[in-house]
Amino acid sequence: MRPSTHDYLRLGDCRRLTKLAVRAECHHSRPRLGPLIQTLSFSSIPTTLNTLAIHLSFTGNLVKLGDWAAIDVILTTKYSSVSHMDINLLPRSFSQGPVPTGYITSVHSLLATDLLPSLVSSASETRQIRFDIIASQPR
Amino acid sequence: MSNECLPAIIDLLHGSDYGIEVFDLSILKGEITWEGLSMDLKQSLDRLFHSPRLKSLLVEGCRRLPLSAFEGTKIQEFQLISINPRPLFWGPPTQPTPDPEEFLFNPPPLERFSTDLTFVFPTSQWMRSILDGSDTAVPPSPLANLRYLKISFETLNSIWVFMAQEVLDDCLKSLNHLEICILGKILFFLRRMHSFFNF
Repeated sequence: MRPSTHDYLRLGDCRRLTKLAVRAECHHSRPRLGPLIQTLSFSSIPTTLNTLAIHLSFTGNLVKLGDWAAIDVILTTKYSSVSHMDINLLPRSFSQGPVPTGYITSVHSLLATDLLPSLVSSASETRQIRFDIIASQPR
Repeated sequence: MSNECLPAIIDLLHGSDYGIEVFDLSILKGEITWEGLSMDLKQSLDRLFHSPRLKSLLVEGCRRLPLSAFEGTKIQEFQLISINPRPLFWGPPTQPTPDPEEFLFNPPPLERFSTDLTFVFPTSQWMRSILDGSDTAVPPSPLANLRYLKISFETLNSIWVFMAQEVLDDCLKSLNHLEICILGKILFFLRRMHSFFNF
């Protein structure tokens, strides 16, 4: 069901918008991602948009796989024409399951180094990958 | 902030043929309001804000900063953070002033704006609704020429989305870079409360 237009930002009328960046981060709880997903999903995309940057970082709670699955579908369908995507994840957030990695260009790996092999294996699908290992911490 | 030398130091930062282009004022501890500043300090800050060379201003943690401080300034980049924080995390966000006397009739030529919605410029839609039926023309929106907008939310429910959309509506024709930040402070606060009572 389509949500009310008051539940998401309408970006389609921003006729000069070239870059959209979404940052959701919390170190002790998990923000509600529903409205964010709705904004990405139901807002029309300005034809000028060429860069989409998403930074998701949660160290306290896991991102629900359903949330990421929703974003994954949106990115691979609606935003497939965007020429540059910069998806910046904290991998531990996704340690419950496989990470869809086809368009990940930047990973800040704090804890889950066990995910790196699967990320590296997807490198052939990605135009640009940058791994920034900014810290390591014994388990 | 009660240092008597501070106004003199701020005055030295600009003059008739020189001046700083970037000024950051961050109050990280204590509850300091604009009204609570000394008259000398308020006047020196006002003079600096109106320096034609000042292009970028960050103000953080100075409560109840008045809109009028920016009337007629030439500032192109604002970062205004924690200006009128909500008393409770789940309360409504800061509303623009309903007093048309406080609207900016000579707004700064803003190109870049970072906000957590604790300081809000009256949008065109807001000013139209206030001035509806009066003879006063709706002033120009300070947001009309924004190229970069960064909005930080504590949550992203309908009232916050509504306010952000009004801001977007004012800069539809100029905006080319939008950054949306969701910080999730409400759940953080509730979790801390829960931990406190279960301790």
